[in-house]
Amino acid sequence: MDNDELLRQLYDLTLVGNKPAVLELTNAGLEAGMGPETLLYEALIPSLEEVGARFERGDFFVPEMLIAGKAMAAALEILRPLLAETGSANIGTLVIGTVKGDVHDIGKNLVNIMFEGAGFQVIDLGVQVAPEKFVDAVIEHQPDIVGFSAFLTTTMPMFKANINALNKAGLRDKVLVMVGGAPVTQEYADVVGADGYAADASAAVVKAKELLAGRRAVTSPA
Amino acid sequence: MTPGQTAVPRVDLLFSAAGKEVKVRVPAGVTIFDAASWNGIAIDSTCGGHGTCKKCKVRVTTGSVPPSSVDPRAFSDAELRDGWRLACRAEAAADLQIDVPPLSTRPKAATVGVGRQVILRPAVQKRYLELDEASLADQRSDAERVLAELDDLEPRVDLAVLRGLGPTLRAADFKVTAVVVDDVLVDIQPGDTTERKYGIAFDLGTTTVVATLLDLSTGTPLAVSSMLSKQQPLGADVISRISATMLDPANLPRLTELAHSSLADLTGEVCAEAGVDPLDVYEIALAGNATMTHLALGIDPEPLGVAPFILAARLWPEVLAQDLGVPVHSRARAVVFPAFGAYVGGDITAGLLAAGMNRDARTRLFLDIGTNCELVLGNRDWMLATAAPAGPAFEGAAVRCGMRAAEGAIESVSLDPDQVRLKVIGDAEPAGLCGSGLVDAVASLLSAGLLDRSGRFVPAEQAAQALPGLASRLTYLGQERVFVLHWCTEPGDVSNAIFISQRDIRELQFAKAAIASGWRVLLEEAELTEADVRQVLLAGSFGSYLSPSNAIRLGLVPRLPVPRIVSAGNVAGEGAKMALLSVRERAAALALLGEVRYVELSDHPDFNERFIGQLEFPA
Repeated sequence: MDNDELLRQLYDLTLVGNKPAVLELTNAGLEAGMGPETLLYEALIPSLEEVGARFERGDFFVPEMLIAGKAMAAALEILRPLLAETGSANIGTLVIGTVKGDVHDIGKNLVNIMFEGAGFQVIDLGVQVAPEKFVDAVIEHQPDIVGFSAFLTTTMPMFKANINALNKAGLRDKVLVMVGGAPVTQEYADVVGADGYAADASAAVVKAKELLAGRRAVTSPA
Repeated sequence: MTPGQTAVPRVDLLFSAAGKEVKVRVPAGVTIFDAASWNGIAIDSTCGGHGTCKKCKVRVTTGSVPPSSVDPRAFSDAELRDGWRLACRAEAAADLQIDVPPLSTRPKAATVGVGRQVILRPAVQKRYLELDEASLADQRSDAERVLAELDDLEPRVDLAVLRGLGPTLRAADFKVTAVVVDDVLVDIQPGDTTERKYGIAFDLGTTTVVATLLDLSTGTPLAVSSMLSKQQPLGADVISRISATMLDPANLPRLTELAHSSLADLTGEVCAEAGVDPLDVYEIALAGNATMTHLALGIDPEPLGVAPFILAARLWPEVLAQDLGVPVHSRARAVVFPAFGAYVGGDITAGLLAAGMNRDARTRLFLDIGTNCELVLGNRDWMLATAAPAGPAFEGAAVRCGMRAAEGAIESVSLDPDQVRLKVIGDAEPAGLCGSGLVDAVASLLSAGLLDRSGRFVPAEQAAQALPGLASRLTYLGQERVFVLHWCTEPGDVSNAIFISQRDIRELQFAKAAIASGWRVLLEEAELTEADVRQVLLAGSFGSYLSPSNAIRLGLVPRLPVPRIVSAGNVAGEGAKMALLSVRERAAALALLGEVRYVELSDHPDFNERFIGQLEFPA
C-alpha cells in the first residue's frame, strides 16, 4: 500500500468509525515513515470535518459521530506524544462544561469530538458546572477558549453569571468565551457578551479557529 | 412485587351485592366501605363514611372483624354475632366475604369518559332545613340552630356565613338550604335550593384549557368548553414560560392573570351554555402539570426549570376558587391535584386516577406524550413514574413542514407502491405535518425500505429498487435529503412542497429515544420485560391520533400485540371530574402520592448510552 492509498483508507475508515482499522493504519503509517502531522492533517482531520458536514445535513447522526470520534481519539492517543515532540501538539485548549442547573451533555460531547478531531486539547468539566468551577479551571488550565453549554432557556442565564464570575476573577480578557446549546442564538450570545456562538459542533470548530486567528493577529508582535 | 419498596400487605374481599359476586384486593386496614366504593360496589350511606348515618350496614359472612364503638348503637347483640357491621367503621385486616344488602335508596352513579362508573358522593352537599324559630324559651344561637340539623356533617362555619345569617333565616321563615363543602358550611340560602349544585372540572393544559360543568346532583356533564391557553404569547412550552418569569419578574403576575382569565372565560361559557348561575357552582377541580399549576397559584416556578427540578409543594394548602380567579360562589372550594415531581404533575395524578392504574391487577404502561412525556408503569400493587424530555417534534415544532394538529395538518400517512395517501384535518389542502402524521410518515418509510434502521434515507439506487413508483419523491433540498409527501405546486418544486427531511427524522429519533429510554428504565427497575406489559395506555389528545401499529414500528411503545395499545383520551380532565363527583375518588388520588415512586432519568446511570442506543429504530 503506498502512502496515498494509506491516507485514503485512514480517511474512509475514520469516517465509518472502524477503530481497530484506524489504529492499525495509523501505526502502519508511522512505521512506513510518514510524519504524525501528515496522518493528522491529511487524513484524520479532513475525515472528521466530513463527519461534521454529514451530521449537519442529517446523513450522520449521534451514533455515527460518536463512533467516528472514538476512532479518531484512539489515533490521536498514538500521535499526540509524537506531535508534542515536534511542537505541533495542539492548536488550542478548550475548557468546556454544561452550566449549573443543566444536566444535558450529549450535545456538549459532540462538540468535544469535533474540537479534539480538529487538534484541540479539550478539558471537559461535565454537567452542572458552577461559575466558580469554570473560574478555577481557567486558572488551572489557562485555556484559549472556555465553552458554556445550556440546553434549557431556564439555564441560559448562567452564561451571564459565568462571564460575571470571570470578570470578577480578572480573567475575562485572558480567555475567549463561546456559548452554545439548542435554544441559544447569536443574539443571545451577543447580549450576554460572549465572544462566539455556533449552531452545531462543526460550526463551533470553525468559529473557534476564526476567533483564535483574530486574537493572535491582535496580540502577536507586528 | 413492589420494586424498591416494602410491600403493603393486601387482603382479598369477596363482595356479594345485587346478586353478583365481586372479588377485590385492597391494602390491609382499608375500611370495607372504602374498598367497596373504590371498586364501584354501592353501599348505602348518607354521611359519607363518618359513622353517623348508620346506613352502611353489611354482613361479614366469612372472616372476622371486631365490632367498632359505633356498631352496638346500630345493631342488636344477635345481629353483631351474625356478623353485621357498619362498613365505614369495619377495617379489613384479613380476607373476608361480605354480603351487601340491597340498597334502600337508588345510588346515583355517573359514567365518566374512560368508561368508569363513579358512585356519586360529591363534597358539595345541600340540605333543606326547616328550623324552629328562635324564642325566649329557645335562645340557641342561629349557628347552633343550623348546626343541630347538620350533626351528621359536623361542619365548620365560615365567618362570612355568620355575617348574613340572622337576616337570611328570618326573611326565609327559618326555611333555608345549607351548603356544605367538605367540612365547611359555606352558605345558608333562603328556601329550598337543593336541586342546584354544580362543579366545574378544569384541565389546565400548557396548550389547551378545557372546562366541564357538572351537575353534582346527577353527575351529568352539562357543558364543555375549551380554548387555547392565553399564556401562549409568553412561550409555547413550560420551560419557556418559566424562563419568561426569570427574565422579567412582571411576567409571573402576568402569567397568573392569564391563567385566571382563561379559567374565568371558560366558566362564563359553560355556565351560559347550560343556563346555570355561576353562584351555584360551589366547587371546582383543577388538573394541570406542575408548572401550569404553580403559575395559576401565583407561585414562582423557577426551581422547576433548573436542575435539580424542585416543586414548591406536592400537596396544596386549602385553595378557594377565587384564588384561581374563577368567578363562581365566593366561598367555593378548589381541588388542586397534587404532583409527583416537577415533570410528573397533577394532570398525571388525575390521569392515573381516571385510568384506574391504582386498581387494575394488570401491569400497564401509562404514557402521556407531549413536549414532556410522562411515563408510569405499574399495577394496583406498585407504580413507578418518570418524565422524559421528548422535545417539540410531536407538536410540529423543530420539524421543517411541521404544524400543530389544526386544519390543514396531515394527520396520517400511508405509502402505496405508486402513491402517497394522506389524511388531512378538515379535509383541507395540506398545509403541514402534525405529530401523528410525522409518526406515520417515518413508520411507512421504514416499512417501505426507504429508510434504514439508523434513520438514514437509503441510497437513491436502493430506493429505486424498493419502491420505484415513489423513488422520485426521495430527492434533495439543497444538501439535505427529503421525501416529498405532497407537491403543493408542480412535481419537482421541492421548496414549496410538504416534505419530511433527513433532519426532521433525526428530531423524531431524539423524541423516540427519550420516550423509549424512559420506559425501558422503568421496566428494568421493575425487573420486567416488554412482554410483561399487559396494556399501554396512551393519554392525551396526541395519544388519540397516534397509530398504535406505527408507534410499535418506531419503538415508541413496547412491542405488544396492537390491540393492547389503547388510547385513553383526556384522562386528566376525567380525573378532575371524578374528584368533583366523589370524595372517595379524591382520596384515592391523594393516596396515589404514597403509592407511586418517582424515578429520575437524568440521574440514572448510563442514561446517555441508553438514550443513544435507543436512537435507532427496531428491526
